[in-house]
Amino acid sequence: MNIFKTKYFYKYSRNPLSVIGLVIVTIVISLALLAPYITPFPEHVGPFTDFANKSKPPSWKYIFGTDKIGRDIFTRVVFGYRISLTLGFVVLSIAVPIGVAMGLCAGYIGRKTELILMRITDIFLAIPALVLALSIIGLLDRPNLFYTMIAVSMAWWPWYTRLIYNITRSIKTEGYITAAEIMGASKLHIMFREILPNCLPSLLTKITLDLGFVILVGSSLSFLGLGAQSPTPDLGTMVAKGASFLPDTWWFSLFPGFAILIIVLGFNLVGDGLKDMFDVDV
Amino acid sequence: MIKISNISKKFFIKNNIVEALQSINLIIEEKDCFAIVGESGSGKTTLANIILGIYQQDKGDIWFEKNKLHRKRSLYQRKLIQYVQQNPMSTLNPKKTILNTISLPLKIHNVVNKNQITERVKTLLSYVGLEPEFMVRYPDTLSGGQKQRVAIARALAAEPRVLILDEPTSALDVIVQSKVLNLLLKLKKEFNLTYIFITHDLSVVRNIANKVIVMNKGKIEESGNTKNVFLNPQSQYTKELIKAIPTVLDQEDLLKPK
Amino acid sequence: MYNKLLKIEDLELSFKMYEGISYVLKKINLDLNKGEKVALVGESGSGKSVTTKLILGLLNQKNVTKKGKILFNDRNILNLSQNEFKKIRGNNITIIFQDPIAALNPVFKIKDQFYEVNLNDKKMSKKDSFIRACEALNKVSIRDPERILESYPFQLSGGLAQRVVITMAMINKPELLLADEPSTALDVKIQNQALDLMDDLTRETNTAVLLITHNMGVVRKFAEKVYVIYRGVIVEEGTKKQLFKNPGHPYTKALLEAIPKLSGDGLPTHDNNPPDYALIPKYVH
Repeated sequence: MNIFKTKYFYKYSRNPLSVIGLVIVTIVISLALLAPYITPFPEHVGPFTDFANKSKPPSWKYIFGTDKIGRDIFTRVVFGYRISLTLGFVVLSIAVPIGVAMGLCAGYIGRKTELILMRITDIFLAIPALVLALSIIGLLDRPNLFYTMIAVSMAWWPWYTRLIYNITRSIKTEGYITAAEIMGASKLHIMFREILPNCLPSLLTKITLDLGFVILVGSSLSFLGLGAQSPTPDLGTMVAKGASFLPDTWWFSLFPGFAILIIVLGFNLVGDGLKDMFDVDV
Repeated sequence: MIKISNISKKFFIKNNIVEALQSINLIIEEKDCFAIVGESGSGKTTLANIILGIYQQDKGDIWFEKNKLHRKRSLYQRKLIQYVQQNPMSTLNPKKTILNTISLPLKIHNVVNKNQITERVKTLLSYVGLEPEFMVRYPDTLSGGQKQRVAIARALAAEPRVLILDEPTSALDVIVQSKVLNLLLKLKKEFNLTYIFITHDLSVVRNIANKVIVMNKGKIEESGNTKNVFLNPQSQYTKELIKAIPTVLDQEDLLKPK
Repeated sequence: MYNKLLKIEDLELSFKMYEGISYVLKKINLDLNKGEKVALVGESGSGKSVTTKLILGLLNQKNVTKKGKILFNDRNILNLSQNEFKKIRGNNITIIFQDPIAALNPVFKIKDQFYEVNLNDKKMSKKDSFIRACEALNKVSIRDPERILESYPFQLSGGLAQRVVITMAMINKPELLLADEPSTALDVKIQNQALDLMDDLTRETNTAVLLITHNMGVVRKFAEKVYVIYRGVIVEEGTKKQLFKNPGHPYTKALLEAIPKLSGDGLPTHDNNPPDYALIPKYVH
C-alpha cells in the first residue's frame, strides 16, 4: 500500500509547512543513520587531534570548518544528530510507557487509584522539566549522557499521564466502553484494547512534538556541561565549547546551534501537521 | 424468568434527591417481548441499567431464573443477558474492525475455539443481513442502520437468552428503523429470545411487544397486554401519551382515546 | 412573483473530498409564500439540512461548489458576502435547531443571549433588552420569565429551553423561520407543545416557516405544503392533504408505509432491492 496515496497523507499534505517538516525530519534521520558512510571524516568523532588543521574556517574540504583541535565540524554535527535522536527516542521510550500506563489506570480503575496517581503526577508536573532534570543529575555521581536521559525521562512521563488521563476520562462513558463492561471484559482489556487505541492519534502527535522538545532540553543540559562528555560529539556541548570563541571562530557554535534549530523545527512542524490531520489537542 | 421485586433507586443531583425508581415490581416471562415505555425522566433507563448491572439498586432484588442478580455478576450471568444500546454512533469502538468488535464476546465467553472465530463472525453477520466483507471495515464507514446491525450481531454472539434493547431504533431513519425492527422480530423467533424493549415510541411498542408497562416519574402507571393497554387505557397519563402520538393516517386518529 | 418570499431555483451543491466529488443537491426547486408553512421531508443524507445552511450563507469552504439561485424577496442570496448575510441572519431569516440546549451558549445567561439577539434590531440598553425579553416570554405563557432570564442554559429542561429558543428566534419578527428538526430530541408531548408554540407565533407575525424533518407525523401536524427529498432530489411536491391522502411517488409511499401503525397490524415487509428512488420522476400534485 503506497503510503502517499492514503487519505491521511492527502490531509496532511494540505499544509505545505507540514510537508517541509517531514522532509527535514527525513533528511536528518537519514543523515544520522548513515553517518559513518556519508561523512568525510568519521574518525574525527573519537579521540583525534590534528593541530595542523585546527580552527580552520569553512572550506570545500571541511564544510563547516574545524574546531580547536582540528576535528571536522560537519562530521561531528552529523554524528551529533545521532546522539540527539538517540536521546529523544530513549527518553520517550521510557517516559511514554510509564506515563500511558499511569494515565490509563488513573482514568479508569477507580477513585482511589485516580487520587493517588494524579497527586503524584501533579507534584512532578509542578516542577519545570529542566529544573527537575538538573536536580536528578545533581544526585548522581558524575554527569554523562546516560544519566541525562534518565533525568529527562523522569521529567517527561507526567505529561503523558495527564494526556492519557484526560482522554480516558472523556471516553470511558462512551457506548462501546459500557458495552464491553456489560459483556464482562476485564479492566485490563478495556484499558489497553479499547481505550488505548483511541488515544493513539493524540499520543503520536505528542510524541512527535516532544521529540523536538526533548532534544532541546537535552542540548540545554549539554550546554551546561551535563550531557555527553568529550570526545563524544554532542550538539549542545559543541555550542557551549564554541561560545567563548565567538565571534572570531563563529563556525564553532553556529553550525551545531543551527543543527539543533533545524531538527527541533522539523519535529515541531511535523507535530503540528499531525495535530491538524488528526484534529486533536495535546 | 426475570422477576423484579420492589426495586427502588435514588440519585443525588446537586443537593436534590431524585427518586428515579419507587418500588418497582414486574415479572418478565420467557419469550416475552416486554416493553418499558416512558418519557425522559420516567426511570425506564435507570431500570434497564439496574437489570444490566450498571447501577446497584438501593432496595429490592432482581431474580433471574431463581438466582439473585447482584451488581457483581458471574461471567455466565453476563453471557445470558446482553445489551443493544441506543446510540449506534458510539456503540462500536472506532479503532476496531467489525471482526474485532464482534469477536470480543466470543473470546470472553469462550463460545468457540480461536480458529473458529472468523467463521462464527461471518455467520453472525449473515444473521443480521451483512456480507462477510464488512468484517474488515471500520465503524466510520458504516451507516447508522448498519452499525446497529453490527451491535445486534455482537449481542447475539454470546448466545444469550435475554436481550435488553434500549431505544435501538430511535436514532435511525424510519425506513431503516422498520427493517431493523423486522430483523429483531425474526431473530427473536429464530433463537427463542426474550426481549426487554425500552422506548418512548408507542407506535413501535404497539407492533412488536406483547406486554407493556408505562412508567412515569419512577412509578408504574399502567401495565398489561399491549393490546389491552392501547385499546383500553386506564390511566389518564397513558391516554395522554397515546393521544400525543404523531399519526399519519386519518383512520389512525380514530383509534386514539377521546 | 412578488408573493414568493423564498424561491429556490435549480439549486446544486457538491463537495470535493479525497474520495471524489459528492453531489449533495441535484437541481432542487422549492418555494414559499409569505406566511406559508412548508415542510422539507427526507431521511439522513437527503440533503435537507444543507439546504438551510445554504439559505443562511453558511457553506463557504474552498471545496464547496454551488450553482443555481436562492431568491429571497426576489434577491439572489446564494453568493452574498458574509457582511450582507449578517444583516439578514437574525433579522429577516432566523433558525432553530434540533437540540435547544446545545444551540445556546453554555457560559452565558439567557438574558445575555437575548441581548445579543435584540442588538440585531437597533442599539438597545441591557435594561431595555431585559424588559423586551420578559414581555416576549410572558406572551408565550412562560411563567417567571425573570428567573429564566437569570438562568444558564443547563438549568432549563429540554422543553423549556426549546420554548426559549423559539421565542428568541421570533423576537425580531423575521420573515422566514428555518426549523431544523426542531423537536427530534424531545419527548412527544413536549414536541407537540413546541410545534404549537411555533404555530401561534408565526401566525401572528405572518412569518413563513421552512420545517426540516424526517418525521411524517410532525409534517402532518404542522405543514401546509410538503416537499419530499431523496438523495438530493425532490421527488414529490404537494399540499399536506394531497400528500397524505394520495402519495404519488414510490419513495413517499415507502416512507408512509414504514411508520409503525397504531392499529397494531404488525410491521410492513420490505423489498430487499428497492428501486433507485432518485431515478423515478418527480410527482407533482
